[in-house]
Amino acid sequence: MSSSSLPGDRERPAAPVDPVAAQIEAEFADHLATSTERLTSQGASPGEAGRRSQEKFGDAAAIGRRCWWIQQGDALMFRVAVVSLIVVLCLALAITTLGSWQSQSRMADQMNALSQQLKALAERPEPAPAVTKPAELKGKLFVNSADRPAAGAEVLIARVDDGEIVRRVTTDARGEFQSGPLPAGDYSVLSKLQPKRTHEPFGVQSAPVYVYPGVDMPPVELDVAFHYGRLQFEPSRPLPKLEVAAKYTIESRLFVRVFTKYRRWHAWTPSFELPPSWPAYVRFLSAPKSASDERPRDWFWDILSDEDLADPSGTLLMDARGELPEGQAIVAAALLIDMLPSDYQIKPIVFAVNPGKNFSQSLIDAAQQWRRAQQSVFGYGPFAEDQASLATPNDDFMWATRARSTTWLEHLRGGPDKNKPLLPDPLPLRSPLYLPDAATVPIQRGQLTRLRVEIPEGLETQIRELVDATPDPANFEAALPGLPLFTELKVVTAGSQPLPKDDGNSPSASLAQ
Amino acid sequence: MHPNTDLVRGALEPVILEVIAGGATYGYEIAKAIEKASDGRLLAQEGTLYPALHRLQKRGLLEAEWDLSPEGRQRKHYRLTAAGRKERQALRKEWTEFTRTVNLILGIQHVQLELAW
Repeated sequence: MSSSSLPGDRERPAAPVDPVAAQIEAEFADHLATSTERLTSQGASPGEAGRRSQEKFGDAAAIGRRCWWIQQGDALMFRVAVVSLIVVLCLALAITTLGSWQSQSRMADQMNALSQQLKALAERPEPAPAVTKPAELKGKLFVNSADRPAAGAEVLIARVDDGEIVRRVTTDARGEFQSGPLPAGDYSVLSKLQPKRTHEPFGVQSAPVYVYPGVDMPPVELDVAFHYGRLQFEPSRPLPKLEVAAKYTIESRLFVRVFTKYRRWHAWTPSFELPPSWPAYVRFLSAPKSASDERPRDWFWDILSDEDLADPSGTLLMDARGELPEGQAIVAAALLIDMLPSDYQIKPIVFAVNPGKNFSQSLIDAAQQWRRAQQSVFGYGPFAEDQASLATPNDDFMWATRARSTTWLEHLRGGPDKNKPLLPDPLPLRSPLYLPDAATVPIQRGQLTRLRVEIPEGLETQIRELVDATPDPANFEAALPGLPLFTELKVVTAGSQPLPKDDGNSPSASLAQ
Repeated sequence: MHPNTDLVRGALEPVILEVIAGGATYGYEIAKAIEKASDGRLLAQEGTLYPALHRLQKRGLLEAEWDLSPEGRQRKHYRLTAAGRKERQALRKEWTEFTRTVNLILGIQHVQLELAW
């Protein structure tokens, strides 16, 4: 037997010199040689001894292979395991490498693509700068209707935030205008009313428009005609009046307050007390000069006598001359009752009108004097009418000065606390009443809206009884709080009718269209 | 008669350990000792001894050393390791218990059958 006689049942590594196989072969050879020698020593021939030894031993090749596998099994299995592990690791490494290579390849492709895109972008000619339309306000002014353009009209572009007039442009023959570039923001368009008015309001203001660059805003369409109606207050019965011989004269006046969308001051900022319906009519077309100019004044008031109420063309309300802007108005009325000494002389108050000026300027002058007189009265007390140097053909000023006081105005404005009565000062105007029942009435274009004011019955009787019970005038004041000296009146709409033609009472050159 | 091959495979390794512990050191000597002890019934072929020797060597129960025979041939001598000696003791006990149990079972079962009859 030789090492080459140990062929494996399974493949084994072919080695020129296998030490394991050589040892197995040597061990087997020693066994067979020893066995042969023993048999020979027992008389067997060498050939016979060798044959019998091999027969006794068995299949040396098969046994040798078994021994070889026993000796090599673990090492071989370990080797196989190591080889397998190495193969697996190599495969894993190969797969990882392949995946990494593919990933890197993809990344490289993507980087190449990105580089190409960036290169293309870099090489692309600079795009023309985006043409963003500047913020601009466009619009059209017309008189009464769109087919009557207001050509050549001055257009004021006011910044709503602070009322600053930022641009002045003029309309073309079609009544159209363009503001030119403007910073983004809220703007309002103002223009003088047409035909030109001789008394306020003098202008009209559009609703605020937000102007934004690149956005085409719808054009502002503004009717510069003043559309108005009038109110006619109709007391249910004559205002209370009572003369107590040699003592007092009890007089009364109808106090009215009317809220409209007319802005008497530089109030084209959003600080309106009431949301206006647009367009709003404004008194001034100049920017406010002080903070006080921006105070919204959106109401008219007046103190009316029976004579004032008898005007068939409507009730004139102070500066408004009765021409109230078209739209809705909020109307409140109250009855003022005052007690005057019998010897009280109503002094005529005459405005110092300069006859050399035109009529409108005379009115302006008069209005300024009226305001100065009011300021004078307010500045020095409720009975300071004697200090006024003005003259008026009626006694409104007296009533106004006697009526108006800080307390009274506070009351009219709603007071700091509407649920608390006012302090009983000054004398004729104390009242726990407010104006919670103000009525909303329509002011229709070219229409006279009649308002019925309900005058309570029995007021004269109450006052007379109080006067009779209080012979000493010194004690009369203490008794007054029980009297309804300031009584809110119910106002209801009684109907409407077309305004009469201008009979001269109104200085307006603009009749209702 | 030769015993069942499975029985021989289970009994050969304890016998080898016993024979080596008894003084036999190389293959032919071990084979002749087993043949003598078993009256020639345990090893049908002497060559089958070597896989068992190599397994015991592989398990660390035997250690081997090459030397020259008196005739001048390479000869592989085996001897028990410490583990081999412990294993020999354990195998003797297990084998004794096993053969006793098997003999007992076979004998009792036979007796019981006899008693039952």
